[in-house]
Amino acid sequence: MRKGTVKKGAGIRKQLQLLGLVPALIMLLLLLVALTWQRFEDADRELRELGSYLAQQIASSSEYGVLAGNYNDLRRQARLAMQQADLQYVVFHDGEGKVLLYEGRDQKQDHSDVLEFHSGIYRQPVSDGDPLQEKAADSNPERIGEVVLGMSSARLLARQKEILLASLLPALFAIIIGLWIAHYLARQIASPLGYLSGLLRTLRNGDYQVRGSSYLRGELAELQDDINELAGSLEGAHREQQTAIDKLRHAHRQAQTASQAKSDFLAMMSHELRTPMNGVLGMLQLLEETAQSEEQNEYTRAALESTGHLLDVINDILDFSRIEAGRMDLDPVFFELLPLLENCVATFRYMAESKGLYLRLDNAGMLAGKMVRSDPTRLRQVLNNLISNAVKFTQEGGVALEITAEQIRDDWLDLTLAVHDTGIGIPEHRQSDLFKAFSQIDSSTSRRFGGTGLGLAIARRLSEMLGGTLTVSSAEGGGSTFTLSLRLLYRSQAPAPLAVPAHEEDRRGGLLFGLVLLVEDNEVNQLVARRLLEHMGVTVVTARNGHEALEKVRQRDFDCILMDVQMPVMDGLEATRALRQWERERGRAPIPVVALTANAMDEERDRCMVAGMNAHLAKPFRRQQLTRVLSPYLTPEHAQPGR
Amino acid sequence: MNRQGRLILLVWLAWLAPSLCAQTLLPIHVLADEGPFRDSFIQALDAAAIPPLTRVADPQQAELLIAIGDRQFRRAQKLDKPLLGVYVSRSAVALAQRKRCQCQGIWAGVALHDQLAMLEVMMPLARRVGVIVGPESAWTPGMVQDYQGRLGLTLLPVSSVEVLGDRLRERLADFDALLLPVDGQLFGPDTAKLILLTSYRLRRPVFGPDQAYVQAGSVASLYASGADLVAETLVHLQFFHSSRRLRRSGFVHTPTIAVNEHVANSFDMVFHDIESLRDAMEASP
Repeated sequence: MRKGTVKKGAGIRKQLQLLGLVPALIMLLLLLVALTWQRFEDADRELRELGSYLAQQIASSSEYGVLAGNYNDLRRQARLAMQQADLQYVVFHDGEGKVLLYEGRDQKQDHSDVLEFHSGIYRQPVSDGDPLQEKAADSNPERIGEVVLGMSSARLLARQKEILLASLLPALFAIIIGLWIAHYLARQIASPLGYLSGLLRTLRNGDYQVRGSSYLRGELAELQDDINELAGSLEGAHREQQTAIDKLRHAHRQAQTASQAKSDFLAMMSHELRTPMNGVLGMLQLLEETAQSEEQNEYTRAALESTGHLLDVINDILDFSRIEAGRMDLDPVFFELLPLLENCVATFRYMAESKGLYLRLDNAGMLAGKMVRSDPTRLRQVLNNLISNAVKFTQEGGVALEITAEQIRDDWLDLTLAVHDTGIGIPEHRQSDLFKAFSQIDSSTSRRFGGTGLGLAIARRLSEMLGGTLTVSSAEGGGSTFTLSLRLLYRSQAPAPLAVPAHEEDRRGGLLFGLVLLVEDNEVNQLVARRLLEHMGVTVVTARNGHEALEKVRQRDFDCILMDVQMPVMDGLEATRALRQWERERGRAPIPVVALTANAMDEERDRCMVAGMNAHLAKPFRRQQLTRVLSPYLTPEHAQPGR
Repeated sequence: MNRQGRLILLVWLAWLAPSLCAQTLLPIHVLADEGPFRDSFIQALDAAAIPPLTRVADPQQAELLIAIGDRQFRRAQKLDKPLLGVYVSRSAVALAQRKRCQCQGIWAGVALHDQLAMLEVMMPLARRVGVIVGPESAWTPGMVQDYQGRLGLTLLPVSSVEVLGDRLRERLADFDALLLPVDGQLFGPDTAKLILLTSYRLRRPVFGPDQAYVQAGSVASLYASGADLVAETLVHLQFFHSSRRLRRSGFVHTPTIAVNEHVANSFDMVFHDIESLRDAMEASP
């Protein structure tokens, strides 16, 4: 049976048949029982009346026989009576109850099937024409005997069978007629309903052009008209809906195209901005390492700082664009929250202390030994933004990151991270615009403190993406409090060994070893990377594209490959795939490949990983970032012997 | 009485026997309707040694004709021979004699006084006895009127069957018992029920007229049985053989008794069976 046509219970046709038939059958049955019962009673009464009548007749006619002891006469009376087929025997008794004569049939009859009728035999008065005397004599006639008739009930039973048969046959006929009529009527009613039901089913299946054209009468005709009107309405609505859907599809395609164009633009912008930025930043970092006068060194640091700001601006714009485009993905993992918070505070401690501010972490003990599930990168990004702003807009006093944690059930934690500052505060009427993109309290703020105005907008969006809220309470001149509220899945874990702080790792900048193949088509970036790597202590071989890199890989064993992604001749992804193929064919151990790409989008990172690369470093990169990425592959214990 | 009568008859026959044996055979011819009674009757005559008889087929060769029943009796009269009617009505014999027929008869029925004697034995307290007499009855009104016994007889003359019922309803209640003579017209099977039912309803017992009536419901009756008739016929034949003339007409001398014990019981009569009744009758004066 098709879906949607499953009948629940009996169909209307069957119900109508039952409706028409059951009452009629009940009435018929009752009538049949009543009539049959009455006829049974009649037959029984008839038999009893006949028996009584016969007994009385015999009694009245056997007066002489009984009085005279005339057995012949009595026998004649009995035989006369025995002509009645049901009569089984006749017994005459005298006045004392003695049997005068028994006349019965030869065949044995079960006495339980015999009905006995008794009638007294009386001495009749002699009629002499005097009614009064006759009446007086009648009043107390002498009983001179009794006649007993045994009548077989077989005839009654046979008669009852006949009655039953005679009743059942018409009843059966009536039932058949009733069935046929019920069937016919039910079909007359159910067929149009079935037709209309089919019509509705067709409509439900989406064929709105169907119309009912059956010749119907009465309410069913009205129903068919209504269905036709409904079909017309649905057809019109469907047409309008299709038009709207087409428009929406068109708009969606346009939006998708625009989104793709935006993504492409972002990617291009990311690449085109980061590539030269990488050159600028790299060169400045190299320049910073050179011997310079105090003045030159000051200029170099200023240039580096400005490049850093520019990079932050670019990153903010790209993050916001990714969020807006829905391309920002979270990567939730279980991690220990407290070290992350401590690291965030530590990151800005130098900046705060240089401004004479305190920067502290309050209630840190509440999070000891707790691991939460979230995206640590994005959470760090939000907190860095809040702490950065707080330090940036506070001239006196300090900043405190206050932790409040409340356990909800066994595995959920309501976490509140409030960043209090004693800064300039925010007027209440401006607080509503605070989280809007490209908004700062006023242009003077931007001029005074810098920033694009995207930071808080990004922070709030990220907070929401993390499943929380970001709110602010502030009073102008009274400091501000930004509160990040999150409900996180958590679990307790024994304290892990303390991770090596990043700055310690960074300090090992010159302790890398090994042979690195640098694949970069941009000469400036190639020079920057080469110099940075050489300053770290590694040996660098360069290639200008993937094809050239593969040739060099076949000639020498490298400890690591720094591979640009977008290159002429053969890009980095294709070259990596070919390299992995070549390694599998030769049974060689895979060489670590670190992607160097000016595309900072997550998709780019994923594509690199899928192609077989081991790590990803977005341009422009700082020396420390490069060191951190390469450390796993170029430490002395990892360096291949004999190189 | 019957036993006594038969004894006398046998003694008389024994006395006559030697002389009879020495005499010639008496040729007789029997006229009777076909039937078992005829056969039995002839067989009994043939078996009788006294008187010496010879039964001839041709009535003209017979010296004596014996006719059984009124019809044959009337038929035999035309043969102009000495004729003995057996079980014939008294009126038929009288009529024939009026026509100077040389004939006598053994009447159907029994003598009135015999029946009355039996009645007296069975109903010693009875006083009033009604006797229905019709034109064809064995008893005549004179016989009834001439009765000199202790019973008070009342003659109920009935001319036809049609008035029989009314006469009974009118008068029966006045009697202690009802006595019926043999009468082919009044007391046949058609009237038996009327008479008997009426008598029962009025609780008046009926006596007579014959065995069939006793079977039908009459209390008791003396009647001329086949053997009685044969014996009486032989007496007549012996008389004719010896005297060449016919003995006078009369009833059988030794009638047979019939009793309906059921009816007798219902009337609480003294004698319920034939033997005791016969003994009582023989013992009665």
